[in-house]
Amino acid sequence: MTDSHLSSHQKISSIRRLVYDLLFNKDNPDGYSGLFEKTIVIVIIVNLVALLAETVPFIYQTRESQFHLFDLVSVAIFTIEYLLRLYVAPEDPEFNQNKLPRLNFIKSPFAIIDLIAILPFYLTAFFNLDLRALRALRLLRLFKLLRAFYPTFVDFMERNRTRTLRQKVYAIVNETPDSGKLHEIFDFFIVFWIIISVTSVILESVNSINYYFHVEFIIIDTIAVTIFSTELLMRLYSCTENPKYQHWLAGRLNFARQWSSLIDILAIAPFFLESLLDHLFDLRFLRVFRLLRLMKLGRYTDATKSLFYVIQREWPVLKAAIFIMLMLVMLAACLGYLFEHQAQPDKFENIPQSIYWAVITLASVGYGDISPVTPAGRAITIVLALLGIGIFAIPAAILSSAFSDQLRIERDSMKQELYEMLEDGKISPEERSIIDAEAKRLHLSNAEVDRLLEKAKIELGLVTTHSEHAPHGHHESHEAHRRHDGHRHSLDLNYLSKHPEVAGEQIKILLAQLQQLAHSVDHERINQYLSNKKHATDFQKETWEYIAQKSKK
Amino acid sequence: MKKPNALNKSPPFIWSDYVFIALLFINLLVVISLGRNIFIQGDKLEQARKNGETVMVWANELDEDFANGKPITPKKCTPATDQDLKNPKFQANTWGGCINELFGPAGQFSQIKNPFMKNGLVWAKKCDREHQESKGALIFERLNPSPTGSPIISEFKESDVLVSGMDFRVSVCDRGFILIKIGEAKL
Repeated sequence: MTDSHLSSHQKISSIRRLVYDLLFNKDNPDGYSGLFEKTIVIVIIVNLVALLAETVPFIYQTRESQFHLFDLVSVAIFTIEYLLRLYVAPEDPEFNQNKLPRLNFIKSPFAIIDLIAILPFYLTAFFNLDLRALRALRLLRLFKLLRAFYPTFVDFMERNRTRTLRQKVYAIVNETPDSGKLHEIFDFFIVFWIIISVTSVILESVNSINYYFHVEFIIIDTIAVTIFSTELLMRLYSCTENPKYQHWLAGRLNFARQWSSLIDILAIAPFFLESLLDHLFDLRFLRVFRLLRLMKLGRYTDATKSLFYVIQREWPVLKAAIFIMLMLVMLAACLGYLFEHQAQPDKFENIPQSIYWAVITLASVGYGDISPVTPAGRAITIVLALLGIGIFAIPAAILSSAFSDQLRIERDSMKQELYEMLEDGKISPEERSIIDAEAKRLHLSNAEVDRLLEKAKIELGLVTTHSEHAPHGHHESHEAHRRHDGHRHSLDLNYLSKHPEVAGEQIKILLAQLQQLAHSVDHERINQYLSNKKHATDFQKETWEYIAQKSKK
Repeated sequence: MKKPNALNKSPPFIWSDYVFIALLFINLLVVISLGRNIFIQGDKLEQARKNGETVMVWANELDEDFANGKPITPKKCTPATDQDLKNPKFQANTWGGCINELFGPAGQFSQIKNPFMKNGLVWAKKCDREHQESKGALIFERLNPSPTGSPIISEFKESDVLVSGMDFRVSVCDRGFILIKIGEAKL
């Protein structure tokens, strides 16, 4: 009886453990805790969007049943989540320290938030109460997101425990070795709001949408400006942590003059100008400049930096191409005016109008609103159209080849950095994180980085090529080789000849091994073997005899 | 008892940290207060649009009632039919009479107020920067059919006779003196 009771108890416990491991155990690499958490976060976000949409009568009145159904599904998901957490509480190290793990779970702040998030639904559904005010409590579902972000925040605080507030702020807004995931979340949050803000600016220009969501757009813009101005303040405050901007005032002014900071300022300027000067001018036209917020995204990709650098580098060549283009446009415009003015005085009225025609023709756009009618004008058009293809392609070709050159240069410099890092024969975790950051900047995949590393190691002689090491296609051997190559001791002569210290150490190791051998080997048999001229040269035999003799002493 | 390790403690805040935190709060307060002002303006525009929508509801009902032969309220807004106009003794209603009746003290829309200005016009002939009082007012425009298809928009005159089938447009003059279309209706 007791045994069967025990086994059923064990069975329940093992199921509970399985559920915990599968859905909640973050240390279990085979579990689905990440996926489960992401699903809950998505449901919370969609819930908030639905809650906001419900406040718009135009949307809510026509889709009331769908909203209700969605609320029902969400509450079901949150209830299942709550019950599952309650069920597995005895397995959770956070709650199973004391006697009553489930009670500990119920009393925990996150569990209270979880309960409040679903309680209004059950109160209104089962008690037939008019608890419309309680529906506002659904906003508390937002706090459920804390469960996902709290560990990241704790990790960040742990990593930066001994740092000042400014250093912490710097680590949040910039990628540093101690930024952790919080920096990624910060970046994601800013990018998310850039997209929301730009989308709302675009939609605002659609009269039919702006008519119904005018006030909502104002709220979104105010939130966006709050976020972006806070971000700017954080960057300005913490920039002195960067050695480039160390001085408290001059450093900050220099930082504010940076292109990315100017974009940040321009992104919020329309809001402040419009609000502060509203009584003097109608500055609503400035709102369109809020689209500049899209340029804030440039901070999150280094490709734009490379492009600007390429333009700067190739500027002399581009200048020449632009000069030729301008010459051609002016010449064509003058000829067009000369031949067509009399025939079409309304269209080729003056040279500026002819310039418009010349550019449209040279660029192969050809709107057709102005076209030549005289034979000479048509002849020029033929020549222009043919030249245009080549002339307008020159800057594009220069830029594309320079861009690919730039990419090659950057990859070469990364390879050079790899060589320097591999001086000691291995890659430390710090070096690995630098490589990863650089690879991210250059948009290199992990496979490409591994390939570069492999190449650098081969060139440095830290490893032999695969063909020497294992037959082609021998995946297992290749993998094993790849895993251990950072710790190989057998360095080749090319590398050793360039590094006398390493060579000295290598000689010491070899001599120690020979000494050990001299102590343990059967001397008679080895001398017999080495005496045979087919097996060893005189030099090899004499050297061995010398080492063996010295070792005995 | 174990003493906390001094090396593991966060350094105390310095004056620049307090300045930063104060700036964050000031920024938050400024943005919220400016945002609130813009929100109030937006809310006023919303109210002005609701005024326009109320008028549109009346105009659509008038069209329906007229088509069903029901009496029109106020009577001064009853449009003349082609038959009526043929009668030389017929006294046609005018736009001025109708609108004054509607927005007069005993009119259907006597409760409507200009949301932007306390003593601003409830309705105006034109949305014009030179007439500041037209800010937030309802603007009625006549739509005259044209051979090209798109109607020709003209200002209503007080003496314009109300004729059945007459098209008009209701708009709101916003704070930047830009017309915001509410809808079109037919008498």
